[in-house]
Amino acid sequence: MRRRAWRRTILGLAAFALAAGSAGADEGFRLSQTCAGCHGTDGASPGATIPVIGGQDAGYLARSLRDYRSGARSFYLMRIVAAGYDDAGIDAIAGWFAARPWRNTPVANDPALAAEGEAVAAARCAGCHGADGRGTENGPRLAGQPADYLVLAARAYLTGERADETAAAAIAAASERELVAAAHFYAGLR
Amino acid sequence: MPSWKTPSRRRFIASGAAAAGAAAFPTPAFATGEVAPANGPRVVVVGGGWGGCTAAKYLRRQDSAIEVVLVEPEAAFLSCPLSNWVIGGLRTMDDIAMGYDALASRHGVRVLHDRAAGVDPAARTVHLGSGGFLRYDRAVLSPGIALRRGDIDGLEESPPGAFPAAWKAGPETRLLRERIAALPEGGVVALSVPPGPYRCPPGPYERASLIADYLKRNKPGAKVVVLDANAGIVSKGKLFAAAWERLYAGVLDYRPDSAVVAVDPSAGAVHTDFDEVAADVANVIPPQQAHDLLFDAGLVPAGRRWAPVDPRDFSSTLAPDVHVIGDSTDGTTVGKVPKSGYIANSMGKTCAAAIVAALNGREAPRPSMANTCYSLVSADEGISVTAIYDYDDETGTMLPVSSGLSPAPDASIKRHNEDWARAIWRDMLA
Repeated sequence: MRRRAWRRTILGLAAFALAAGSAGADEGFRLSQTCAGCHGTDGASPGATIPVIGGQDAGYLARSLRDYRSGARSFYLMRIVAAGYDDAGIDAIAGWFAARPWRNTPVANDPALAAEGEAVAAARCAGCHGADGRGTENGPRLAGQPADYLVLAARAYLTGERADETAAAAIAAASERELVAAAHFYAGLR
Repeated sequence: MPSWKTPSRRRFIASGAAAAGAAAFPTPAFATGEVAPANGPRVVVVGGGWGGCTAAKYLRRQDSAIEVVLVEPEAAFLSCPLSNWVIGGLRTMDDIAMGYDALASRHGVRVLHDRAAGVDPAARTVHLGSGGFLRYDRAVLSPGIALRRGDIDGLEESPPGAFPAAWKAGPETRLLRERIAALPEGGVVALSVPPGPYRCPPGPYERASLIADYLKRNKPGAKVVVLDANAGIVSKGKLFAAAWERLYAGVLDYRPDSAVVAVDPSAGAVHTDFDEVAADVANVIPPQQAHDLLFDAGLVPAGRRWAPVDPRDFSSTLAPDVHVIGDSTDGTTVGKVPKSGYIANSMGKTCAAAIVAALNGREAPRPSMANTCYSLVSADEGISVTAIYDYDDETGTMLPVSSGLSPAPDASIKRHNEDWARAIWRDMLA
């Protein structure tokens, strides 16, 4: 009994010290908790069409929110959301999610398509997204995102709903079948 | 004064001793005194719905030194959002059910399957339906709504199930689904929309849409008559109206300014001030107010229907150390927020962060809230409304800093609706 009480005290102190010592993260925590309603607790989205954002690159997340806000990336819902925050808020939210651990999508991919997609990914995507799909300074993490989301995102570069010349060119050079296969490859890459 | 407000010293000592040796939940049905005395700071959360589960989980996530007891009579959570999908035949009850196990096993919440019979703010106790009471440092009350059946003549006297509301997911949801599935060809479904404010503003219109879609596909000649107490569609009005015109001509009959004031179970009829609708199935959703628990605890002012709160921490403005979240809160004190599951989830997080701060001697963070409500207009297409809220120092309420609707109904929005449900159910319960 006494031992448990001690443990609880130590845990409590540790939690308190952690919270007190991360004043810079407070604003990120404050603004980001409501995102979980769609993106999951800590940004670990369990859905098929909504991306994992916990553990994603901070620069990519901040840029995406700014692009939604300006309309450079057009998705009606995220435009409404992003318009609710100023630059400091966007940076705080992006930083907070980037500091969460990455959690792979729980949605299963198609292993046959994934095998087919490996070569496509190596040829067309790895340059910016990394050989392991975990992202580089030129492209966000794709490994462990849900396949359906990756397909929808890729198509958005083709329609201009998302603006990025490099991504659009690489995606345009692939067939629809290759695009879907690459998405299933990355969804299964852990 | 109810007997639970004056536990005798003798009862307290006797049962306190018994409870100390039996801290494991659930408590025995015969408990009479204090149940499971606390060893440290304790928050008792009443109501395992959208607000309560979120508050319980987020309290523990931020400070594991706080003991959190969740009091909820039902063995499993049933989601109101997506319950219209069950009524429309798109999902089963199992699809909208989740257990409370992960709150206990993963987050260390002590889940007590019991009914909260009363709250005594002066004594800081929550009294249980099975007898006995819990002490708290803070109470978070998220009990949901009560239906004012008495506002509609004949409703309270009608046999159970004659006019199901199905406005809390449960047996009535299943009953309504079964009645609609058994509707004769050419049959009539009546659906009444209560005057605002009520739980889930777009809910009645989504339900009307999904019933109409089902009838159109399966019951030739049948129709749904929507009797709305309000002057027009309360939420996403243009989107619903356009979808109805496109999809349900001759199937969905919408009548504004048509409050249901009386029901007649022998004739299966519902009455407005001007009209009578004979219905094979009548889904009567009565006017609403805060749960009885909040009236009994003195948390609703005389003449009012909802519990006033300070949205910085969702503390009751009428009693110390008691917080109220979810649909029972008074919207005029919270701000321009709907009574939605997403908002209850936001309230739970704001409340949890403020309580953790207070119990650790810190100032509560400034609240930041959000809402997204998805609705289906058919089995295939969805719409949505979204808002981001910031605290406004001048009015002391939450005001939208950004808000808007989806474009025209679309299949992709239905997929987002499904993903949203999966994410937010886990955010509350897993």
